[in-house]
Amino acid sequence: MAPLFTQPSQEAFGPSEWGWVARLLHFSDSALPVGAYAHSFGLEGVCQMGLVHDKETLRTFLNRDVSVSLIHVDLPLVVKSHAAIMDGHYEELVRLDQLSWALRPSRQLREALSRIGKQQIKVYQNTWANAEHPIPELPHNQSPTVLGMFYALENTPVMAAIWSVVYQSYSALLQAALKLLPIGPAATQDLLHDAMTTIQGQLQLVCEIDTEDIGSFNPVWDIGASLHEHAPARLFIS
Amino acid sequence: MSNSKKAIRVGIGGPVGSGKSTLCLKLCERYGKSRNMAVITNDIYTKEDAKMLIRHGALPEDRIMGVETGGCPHTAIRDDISMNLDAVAEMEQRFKGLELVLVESGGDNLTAVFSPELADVFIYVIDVTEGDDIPRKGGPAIVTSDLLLVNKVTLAPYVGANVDQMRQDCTNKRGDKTFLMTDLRKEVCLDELYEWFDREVLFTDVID
Repeated sequence: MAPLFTQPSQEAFGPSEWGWVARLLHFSDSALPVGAYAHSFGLEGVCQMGLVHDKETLRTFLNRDVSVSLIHVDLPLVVKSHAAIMDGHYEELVRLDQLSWALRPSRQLREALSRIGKQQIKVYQNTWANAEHPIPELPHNQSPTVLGMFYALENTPVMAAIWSVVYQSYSALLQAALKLLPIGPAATQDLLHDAMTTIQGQLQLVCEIDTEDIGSFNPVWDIGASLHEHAPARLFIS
Repeated sequence: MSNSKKAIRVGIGGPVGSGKSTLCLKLCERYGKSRNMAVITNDIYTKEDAKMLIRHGALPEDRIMGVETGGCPHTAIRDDISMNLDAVAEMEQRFKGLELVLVESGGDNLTAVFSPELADVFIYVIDVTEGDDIPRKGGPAIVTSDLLLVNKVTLAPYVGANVDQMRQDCTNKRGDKTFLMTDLRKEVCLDELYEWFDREVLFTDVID
C-alpha cells in the first residue's frame, strides 16, 4: 500500500529556510496588540442597518461582500506591496499606500486600516526588524501595504502572505460578529472554514490583477460604515 | 538628553456603576485648574462617560477623549493597550507639557487590571451595593491596585452591607496597601483621597 504522503527531507525543515513561518504566525495571531478588537470594519454598520442579522446573512456578507473586497482590493495591494519591496521600488510602495487610503470611501474604514497598520509597524520595529535596514516610511500606514512590505522583508512567500491576510480579515470580522449577532463560537468556526474554502479558488486571480484595476464597488457596505460614524450607540470604533 | 517629560498616567478601574466616573469628576474638579490634565474614557457602549464629564464641565471638551473598546474593556486596558496608548499620545501632542492623564476603564469584573505599560498608578473602585463579600473574594485588582476605594458606604444600611467586615477583608487582602471607605458623591473621605493623590501620584511632598 502506498504511503499517504512522502516525508520531505530533513533539509527542507531547516530552521532558517522556514523562519518566515514564525513571522507569519506571529503577525497572523489575533492576540497581536494592534487594536483590531476595537474595529468591526463596517460590520456593526451593516448590522445596524439590518442587512446582517443572523448566521446566514453573515455568511452571505463574508462570501459575497468581503471576499470581493479582498480579491479586488486588499489582497492585490498586499501582492503589489510585496513585489515593490522585492523589486526595491520604494516609490511604488508609497503609491500603493496612497491608493489603499483613497480606495476607502468611508473615513472610518480608512482610519481603521491606518491605525492597525501603524501598530503593526510598531510591533515589527520592536521585534523582527533589522536595525541595519530601516523600514520605509509610508504616508498612511495602511495595513495591506504594511503587511505586504513586512512579509516581503521577512522573505515570506507571497501566497503565504495572502493567506495570512485572508485569515486575519475573516477572523477579525467573526470576532466582532460574536458580539454583534446571536451566534456562537461553533457557528463562527463554520463560517470561517466556509469563507476560506470559498475564496481559495479565487486567490490565483489576485496575483494577476493590475494596479490600475484594483478597486471594488460596494455602496451598501460604504453607507453602513458611514452611518456608523454618526451612530448614537456603538461598540466598535469602525 | 531629552528634556521632555511624559504625563503621569492614572488607571481607574472597577465594576460598572461603582463610581469610576464620579472619581474622575472629583479629580478633575480638584486638579483641573492647577494641573495640565486630560481624561480618556473607555466605554463598552457609546461615549457616556466622556459626555458626563463634559456635561459637568469637569474639563474643557477637547481634554476628554472617549475610546470605544469593541465590547472588550479589559482588553483595552490590559491585553492590547494600543488604542489607549494612541489616545494618550494624541493628548500629549495636543497639549504640550501635559502632566496628568486619567484613563478610565469601561467597567469590568474583579480580574481586570491595568497593564503597567499603560498606567503608572492603578486605582480600583468597588462599592458596598455590589455585595459586601467582594473584598473577601480578592482578585488581582483588589489585591494589587495602588489604591482601593470602597465607595458608597452611606448606602450600606439600605443594602445590608457590613462595612466593618469589608474593612477587615480589605486589610487582610491588601496588607499595607492603602484603601479608603468613601462616598464620593457625599464627599465622605474625600480629603484622605486627595492627600493620597498628592503624595503618591503627584509627589507634592517632594521638593524639586
